[in-house]
Formats: sequence, C-alpha cells, structure tokens
Amino acid sequence: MNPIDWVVLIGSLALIVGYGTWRSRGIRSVDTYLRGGSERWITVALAVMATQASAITFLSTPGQGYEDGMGFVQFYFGLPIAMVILSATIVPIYKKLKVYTAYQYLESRFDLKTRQLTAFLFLVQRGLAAGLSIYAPAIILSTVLGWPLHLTNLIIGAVVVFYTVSGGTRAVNQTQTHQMTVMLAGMALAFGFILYRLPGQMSFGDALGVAGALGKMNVVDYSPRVDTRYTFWSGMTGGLFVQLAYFGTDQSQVQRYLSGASLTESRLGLLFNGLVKVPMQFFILLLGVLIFVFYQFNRPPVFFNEAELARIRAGPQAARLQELESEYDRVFDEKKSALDRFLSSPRSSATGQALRSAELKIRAIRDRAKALIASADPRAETKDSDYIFIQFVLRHFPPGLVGLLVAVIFCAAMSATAAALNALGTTTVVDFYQRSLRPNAGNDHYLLAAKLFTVGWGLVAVLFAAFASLLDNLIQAVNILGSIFYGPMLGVFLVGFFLKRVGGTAVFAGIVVAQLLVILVFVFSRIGFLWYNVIGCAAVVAVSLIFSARRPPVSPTPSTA
Amino acid sequence: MEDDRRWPALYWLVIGTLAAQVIAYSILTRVYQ
Repeated sequence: MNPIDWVVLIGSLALIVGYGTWRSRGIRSVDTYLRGGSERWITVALAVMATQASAITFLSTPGQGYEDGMGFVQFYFGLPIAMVILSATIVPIYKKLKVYTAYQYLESRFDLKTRQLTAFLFLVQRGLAAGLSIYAPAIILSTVLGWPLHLTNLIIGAVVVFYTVSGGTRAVNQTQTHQMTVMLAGMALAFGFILYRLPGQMSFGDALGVAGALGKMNVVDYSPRVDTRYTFWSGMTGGLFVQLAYFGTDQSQVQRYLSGASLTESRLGLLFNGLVKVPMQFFILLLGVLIFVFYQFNRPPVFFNEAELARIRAGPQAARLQELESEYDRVFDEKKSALDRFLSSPRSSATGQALRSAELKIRAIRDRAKALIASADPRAETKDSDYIFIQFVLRHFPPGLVGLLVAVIFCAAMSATAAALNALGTTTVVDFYQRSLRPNAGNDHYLLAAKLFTVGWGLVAVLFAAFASLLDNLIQAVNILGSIFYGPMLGVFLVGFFLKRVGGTAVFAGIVVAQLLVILVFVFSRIGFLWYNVIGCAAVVAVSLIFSARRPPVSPTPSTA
Repeated sequence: MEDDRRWPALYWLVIGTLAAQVIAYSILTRVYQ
C-alpha cells in the first residue's frame, strides 16, 4: 500500500475509535453501560446495519456476484418483512419489560431454566463466531498485503476490546455509526470507480447486457426447486426465518435496537434497515458483476489468490502452470473476439452462444488451475472468490481509495466483533452472574463484572482467531453453527409470544428435542442450511404443544431481574 | 407516536418498497436474460 493509503486507513480508524471512546467516556452506571439507552433512530439503524455487515460481507459478496451472479440478493427478501413483524410484536414487549437481554423476557414468560438454556445457546454460538469475525478478514488481508496474520488478528482484537470495554454499548453504537458511514461511502466510491473503469464506448446498459448473456443477471428465480439455494421462495421462507431469528433473538442485534431512546426510535431504526438493506446487498453484488464485466476486457488472473499461484511458480509444478496460463491467454483472446461480435449484434442468439461457450472454456481452465493447486498442496484453499474484490482494489484503484477500501474491511470486522463482545459480556453478567451467582451486589460491582466478562470474551475471540488456521473444519462448523441454533431459539420466542397456554417445562423439552433434531438433520441429510431454521423452529412449537397437552399449563414467574 | 395509528402505514411502506424492488428485479432478470 501507498503512504497515502496508510494515512487514510490509520486516520479513519483512529478518528472513529477515538470519537466513540470520547463520546462514551466516564460512564459510571451499569444501566447506561449495558443499555446505552438514549440513541436516535438513525444511530440505531446504522448500528443494526453495521452489526450485520461483517468484513466477509464486503469481501465475499462481490466475489459471489462475480462467480454466481445476482441471485444471492433473494436471501435478503425476508428481511424487510422480519423488520415489520419484530417492530409490531417483540420490540414493544422488550421495551415495556425494560430488559437488558432478549433472554430476560423468557423468564417472565416461562421460567429460569428456559431463559438460561437459550442464553447459553447464544453464548456458545456467538462466542465462537466472534473469533471468526476477526480471523476471516485477517487471513485475507495478511495474504494479499503480506501482513503477519497473528499481528493482524491481535490488532483488530485489541482495538475492539479497548473501546468496547471502556464505553460499553454506547461506545459500540457510536463507533458503529461512523464505521457504517465509512463502509457505505467506500462501497459507493468503489461502485463509481468500477463504472468509470469500464471501456469508454460501453454504456451501463451494455455492461448489464454482457453480464446477462453470461448468466449473471439472474436476480429473481421463481422456480420451486429446493436444490437451488437462493430462490424467491427460499428467501421469503427460510430467509425470513433466519432474519426473524437473528434480529429477534440474537443479543448482539437486540442490544442495538434496545439502545433506542424510546420505542419509536427503536422501531424507526429497524424499519430503516428494512428499507435500505436489500438495495445495499443488490449494489454490493452488482459491484462483483461489474468487476466480472471489467475482466471480460482485461485478462484476469487464472486464480485470484496470488499467494497460492506464487507458491506453484516456485515449486515443481511451475511448468504445468505456465502451460495452463498460455492456454488461458489464448482462450481469453478467443473470448474477447466473441465479445466484440456480441457487442456489435447483442440480439443475435448465435453471438451470445459463442460468448457463453468461450466463458465455459475459461471456467474449465480456472478449474484445472484449482486442481493443480490442490495437487501441489492438499491443504491449500482452492476457493478464490473471497480474493476477487480485494485483488481488484489493490490492482486497479488509485492511492487513497485503496486505503479507504481496506478501512471498510477493518470497520466491518471491528463493528461486528464489538457488537458480539458487548452482547456476550452483557448476557454473561445479566443472565448468569447477576441472576444466579451474585444477585445482590452493587452498581460498581456489576459494572466491573461486565467489563471483565467483556475482556474475557475478547480473549476467547482472539485466541480462537489465533488457532483457527490450524482447524480448517472448525471454521466451516462455526459457519453452520448459527443455523443450527437459531431455529430452536426463534421457536422459543414464537411459542412465548403466540401460544399463551404453553409453560416453561414444555418449551424446555421443545428446545432440547428440536436442537437434537436439527443436529441429526445436519449430520444425516443434505437439506440446505437455510431450512434448519424452519425445521428447528417448527419442532419447538410442535413438541411444546404435545408436551403442554399432556401437562397442565404452568403459571409464569413474574421476575425479569 | 408510540401507539400511533401511523405505524401500519410505515409497515406498508416497507413491504411496498420490497414489492416494488422485487418487481423491478424481475423485469431486470427478464430483460437481461
């Protein structure tokens, strides 16, 4: 990176962290530390968006657009509906009960064991995922920029722990507001710059035409196939359940909107997210599609993780790679001629067909390059789509903008991790420490405990990130873990809200059975992970109803402490 | 605005915006298929 990039990167991060820490200085009350409690709707909205936007959102989503086109946007179709349902149902209840965590509601509705089991599921899942939200961007940045991996992990972790511990929920919200502003500005500039870098004679419509001819403009797919991961129907059902579960029961999100100054501010924040999230994902995917169009005119690397390519060039397979690259050059020229013919008569099916068959040849050579990398080192990562966007930025963006885009990735990593640590610390103190271990201590004691638990979870996250590279399968497992736990968690809240006659013991049995069922489905079936949420949720509802039909209803415990 | 009747209108605005986007994206898919 250029010195200007370093100034932009360090300057923007230092300003954001410094301002957030300053705005939340001197908090002495544990209530303000945990709740925040006085945010305007726009702060709530930006904090909610920043919590969901991890670094992988900005690294992977354009890569997904490049490889598979626009279809992934359908995954978010359920989000606006989830925002409306939550604003109308659970948010008023949380606000009325003045809870710190979502799980406190479960004790007022069911009993202590249901509250603590659900809180425990959250701690396991989010505790592991927090480490991954540091590690995933660190591995990519260290690969492309040559930074030491452990130092990158440590820097992201230490900065996040510093401001999250010092200012609690308010510091997280304040930093997230500015982090999200940097992310939105960075991505908008990137979008404009890619448009500017397309060939001069090419209009935006032509670019979409080329992308469409090569199958990248498949935005909405109404086919009822269950083996296609992203369709309109899976987005409106599985996607809706994921978003309901995530925003309704995951404390890292619940804590963001509960920090609204009133019910109105919390609701408006969520509804704003419902308005802008789908277009935001659409444009991030379109960014990837436009990079794909750019690489129709400029030869892309045969494999986007160039560190892996460099390893092959230095090893015994170098000659085979060179051979493959010469063939790649020849097919690329062939495809470019096909592209010229397509652009001169875009409505002819023959020119479109020729372009598609040339693209298939390019894909086949890329697959052979991946096989070559895997044969040289079976542990090598052959999925290179996460590197497409960052490689494009480093190769083609002007100085300054490169620094801003690396800052976007850091902001995303830090905002998602900070929300997670803040929520983990809060849940540990409120749902376990204060509720069951030290129920009668004073304000200062709980404030210190909240800070120490947040530091503890920060250490867990950094240690997980440090050892994640040794445990390839674990990373995949953590990614799936969210889907395994969310369904039963959502089920508990739905039962609590809609099935008034179901008591604590019945729903507790429901969670245990549903959790086992989802794990069995994961191990023994090939059902897509989006459906785990639906299955887990439905299982809790069904088992709770069966159990409560056999037992008389249990009267709820009034405590929400 | 806490218990205001304007909330349903806002909810419909969010759902309507989603519906308008889905229609626009469907047209985009058709045009550039």
